[in-house]
Amino acid sequence: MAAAGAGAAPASPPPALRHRILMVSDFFFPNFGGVENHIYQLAQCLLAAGHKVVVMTHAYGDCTGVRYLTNGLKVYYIPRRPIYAQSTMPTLAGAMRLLRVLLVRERVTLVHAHQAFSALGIEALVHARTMGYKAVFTDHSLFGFADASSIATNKLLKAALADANAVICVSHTSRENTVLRACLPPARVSVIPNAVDASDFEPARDESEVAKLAAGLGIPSPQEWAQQVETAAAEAKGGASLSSRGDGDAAAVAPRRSSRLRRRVAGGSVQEGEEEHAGGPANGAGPTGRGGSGDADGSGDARPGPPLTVVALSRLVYRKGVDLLALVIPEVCARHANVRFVIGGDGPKRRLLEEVVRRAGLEGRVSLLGAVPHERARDVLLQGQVFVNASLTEAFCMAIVEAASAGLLVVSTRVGGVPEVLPPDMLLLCEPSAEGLLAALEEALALAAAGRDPRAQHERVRAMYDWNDVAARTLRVYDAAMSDPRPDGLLPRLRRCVHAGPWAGPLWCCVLVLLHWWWRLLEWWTPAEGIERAPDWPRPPGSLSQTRLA
Amino acid sequence: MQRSRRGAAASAHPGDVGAATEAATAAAVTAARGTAAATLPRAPSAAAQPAGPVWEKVLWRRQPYPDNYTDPTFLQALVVNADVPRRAFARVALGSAAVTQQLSAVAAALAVAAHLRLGAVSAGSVLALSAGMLLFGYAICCFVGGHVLGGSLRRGLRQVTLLTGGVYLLAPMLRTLTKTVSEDSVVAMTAGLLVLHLYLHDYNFVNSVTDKPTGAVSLSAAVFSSVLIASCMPSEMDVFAHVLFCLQLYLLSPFMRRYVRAASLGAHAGLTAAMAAAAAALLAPLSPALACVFGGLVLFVSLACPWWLVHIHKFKAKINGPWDEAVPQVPTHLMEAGGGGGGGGQ
Repeated sequence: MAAAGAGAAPASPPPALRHRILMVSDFFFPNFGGVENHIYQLAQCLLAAGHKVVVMTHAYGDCTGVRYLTNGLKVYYIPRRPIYAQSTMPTLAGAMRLLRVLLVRERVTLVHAHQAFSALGIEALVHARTMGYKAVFTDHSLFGFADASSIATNKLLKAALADANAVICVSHTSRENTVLRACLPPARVSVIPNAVDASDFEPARDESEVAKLAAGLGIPSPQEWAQQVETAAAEAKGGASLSSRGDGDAAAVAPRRSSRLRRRVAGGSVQEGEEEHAGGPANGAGPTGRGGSGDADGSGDARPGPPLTVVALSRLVYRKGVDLLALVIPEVCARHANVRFVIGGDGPKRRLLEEVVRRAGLEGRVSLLGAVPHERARDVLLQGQVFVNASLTEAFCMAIVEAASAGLLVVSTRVGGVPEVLPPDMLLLCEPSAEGLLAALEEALALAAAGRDPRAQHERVRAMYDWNDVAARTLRVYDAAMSDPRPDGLLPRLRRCVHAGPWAGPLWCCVLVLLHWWWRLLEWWTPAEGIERAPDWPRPPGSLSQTRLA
Repeated sequence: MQRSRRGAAASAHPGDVGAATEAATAAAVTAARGTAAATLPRAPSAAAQPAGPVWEKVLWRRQPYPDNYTDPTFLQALVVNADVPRRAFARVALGSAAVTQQLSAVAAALAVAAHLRLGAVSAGSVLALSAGMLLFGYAICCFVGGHVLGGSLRRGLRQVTLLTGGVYLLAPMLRTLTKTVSEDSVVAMTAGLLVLHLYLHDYNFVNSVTDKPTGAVSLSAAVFSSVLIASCMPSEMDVFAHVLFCLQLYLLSPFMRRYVRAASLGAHAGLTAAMAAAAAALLAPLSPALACVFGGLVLFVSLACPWWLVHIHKFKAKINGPWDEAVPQVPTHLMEAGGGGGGGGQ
C-alpha cells in the first residue's frame, strides 16, 4: 500500500531482489539465547549478501535508543517494558506509531517477526500487514495444546498467522506443531534449521590447550583426572589388601557411598543392569558384594578404563531435564570409576544437583561450573568426550550441534526436533527416563572409550549447518513472501482472518478494522513524506551497489 | 511459493498446490477433531514429489526437496485422544448426585430459615428434626462406615454438647449481629455466599475420590451465610435451631453421605432422591413456583448436564505428538531436595 512503496525504491534493481528487512522480536542481545543468536547471525549473513537489516526490540535496562552492531547492523531498542520473561506487555496498537516511523525511516520492504512468545513480534507482524508490508514469521519453539496459556497463544497465533505471507520453523517437528496450532496450509510453512558457527566450536588442537582451558575454568584437566583415576584405582587395590578405609580420594570413596543412594533412587531394572555389568567382561574383578563388603566394591577392577568426562551445558531448569540428570549422575559414577561430570549452567535446579552430589559424596567427580557465557562454551565442551542433553522439550537443540561440532559424542533424550538434528553415529537417543538415559550414556561411554576422531566429526558438522546456507534459504522465503499473490487490501485480509474461529474470527476482524483506522489516522497526522529517511550504512566501495544517502 | 532446483518441475501450478494444501490442512484439522487416530493429509505430496531419493525427516542432510515440501509422513506422529476415556451416561449421572445432594442441602437450609421466620414451624420441631437427623447420621457413620465421629462415643458426645452449648450461648449475639445491616444486603450476601459455597464445595469427598474434606473456604461461606440469616429470626431459640440445623447439613452430612455411597450406589441414588424431595417439600409451602424451579434445577443437574457432557465428548480433540513436553518419572524426595519444585522452569 501507500506507505510500503513510499520509501522503498532501490536506486537500481540488482540481479537478485534486494530486501530491506526489519527483524522484530522481544528477544535480542544483550539478552542471550537461541532466538537472539539466530536473529543476529541471520542478520549478519543477510548484510553480507547485500541486504539491509534493521532489528527492533524492547529496551534492556540501560540498553536503549539506537545502536549499531557489527557491520552496521542497526538495532532500535524501543522504550517498552518487559513484563514476563523478557516479553513485553501485549497491546493492540501500542507499537504501531513507532513501528510505522521506523518502517518509513529505514525504507523497509519486509518485516520478519521472531518467536511466538514475543508480544512485540506478533504485534509488529499484524501492524506490518495492516500497513501493507509483507511479513514473515519464524517460530522457534514448541507449544502444547492443552493448557490455558497454550490455548490463548494458539488462538492469537492462528489469527495473526492467517495473514502472514510466509512462516519459517526450525525443525520438521516444529513445523508440524505450528501447522496444527495455527491451522496453516503446510506449503506456506518452510523448515530452515538453526546453524552453528562451526569455527567457534573447533575441537582442541592438542592436550595442552585443553589443560589450559581447564585451568581457566578452575577444574582439573583431563590429564589430572587421569592421574586421579590411577591413584584411586591403586588406592582401592592397596586399601583392600591393607583393609584400611579408603578415605583419601573422593573418587575411591564415591562408588561405595553412592551405592546406598542408588538402592533408594533407582528402580529394580537399574539394579539388575548393575549386577550384569559388574559380572561382565568389561570389569576384571568379577561380581563383588555391593555396599556391605567393604573396600573392594565398585571400583575394584584392576584397570578402570580410559578416563572420560561427560559434559552437560544448559540452563539448570526443569525443562532441561535436570531431574533426570540428577538421577543418572550418581549411578554412572558408581558404575564407572573412570568417569567424571562437568556441568555448566545455572538456574533454580542447581540446588538439586548440589544436593545430589553432596549426598553421594561426588564432590571430586562432578564439577558444577555455574553460568557459562556463550563464548566460553567451547572451553567447557572440550573438557569432555561425551555430551549429555536431557531436555524434556526442544524445537531444535543448538547445544547438541555445538557439542558435536566440538567433536563430542552426544547423548540426548528423544524429544521434539532433537532426532532430526544429528546423524545416528554422532547422536545416541534415549527415552526421557532415568533408565533410558543411563543405558544410552553407558553405550556412549563405551563408544568414547574405544576412541573417536573429533576432527573428522567437526568437518562433517561444519558441512551440515552453516549460517550462510540458512540466510540463502531464508532469502528464498523472503522472495516467495514478496511475490505472494494474495491481495493486501483490508477486505481480503478480513476474509482470511474471519476463519480464526466462530468467536475469535469476528472479534479479530474488529481489531483489524480498528488498526486500519488507526493507521489511516497516523498517515494523515504524520504523512510518510514528512518522516526523515535514515542514511544506510556505507558499504566498502566496489563490494556491492553503493546506496545513496538520503 | 518457493521451489528449489529439483522441485521446480512440480511448481507449474503453484495456485493448485496451495489449494490442495489448504484442503489437506482442513482434512488434518477435521481428522484431529475426530476420535480415531490421525489420518494424514496425502494430497500435497502427490503434487510436489520429485523423482529422487526418499525424503527423510532429518535436518542434518541436505535433501533435494524445497524447504516447504510436505511429505506423506507429515503429521504421522500425531495422536488424537490417546488417553481420553469414554464417558458412560450412568456413571456421569451418578457422579452428579453429589451436586444434587449439596443443592438440596442448601435449599433445605434456606427453606427451614424461611419457615422459622414466618413462624410456620416452631424452633422446637426444628430442634427435634435436628436431633433425629443427628442420631440417624451418627448411626449410619457408625454401623455402615465403621467411623465413630469424634473418635469415641464419649468424645463424640462431649463435642456435640460443646457445640450445642456454644451455639446456644452465642444465639443472642448472633441474632443481633447483623441487625444494623439492611435485610436486602443480608439476602444478597447470603445468596452470594451460598453460590460460592456450591462452586467451591468438595464434591469429591462424597464420591470417595478424596479422603479428607477439603474446601475450608466453601464451608466457611456456608456457615457465614447461616449466621447472616440468623439475624432475621424472631427469637433466640429460632437462631439456635437454625444454626444447629445448618451446621449439621454443611459440616456433618457429607460424612454420612460418603458412607452411604461407599456402601451402596443404589442407596446413594435413593438418598439423593429423598434429599431432593425433602427440599422440594420444604420449599413448596413457601412458593410452589420456587419448588418447581428447584425441581427443574435438580433435573438439569442430574440428567441434562450428564447427557450434555457425554454428548459433547465427540468434539473432544486432545492432540499429542512429538512436540509434547516429556514427563519423566522422578522420585519425590529428589524433587524436594531440588527446592525449585516440579514446574519450576518456564
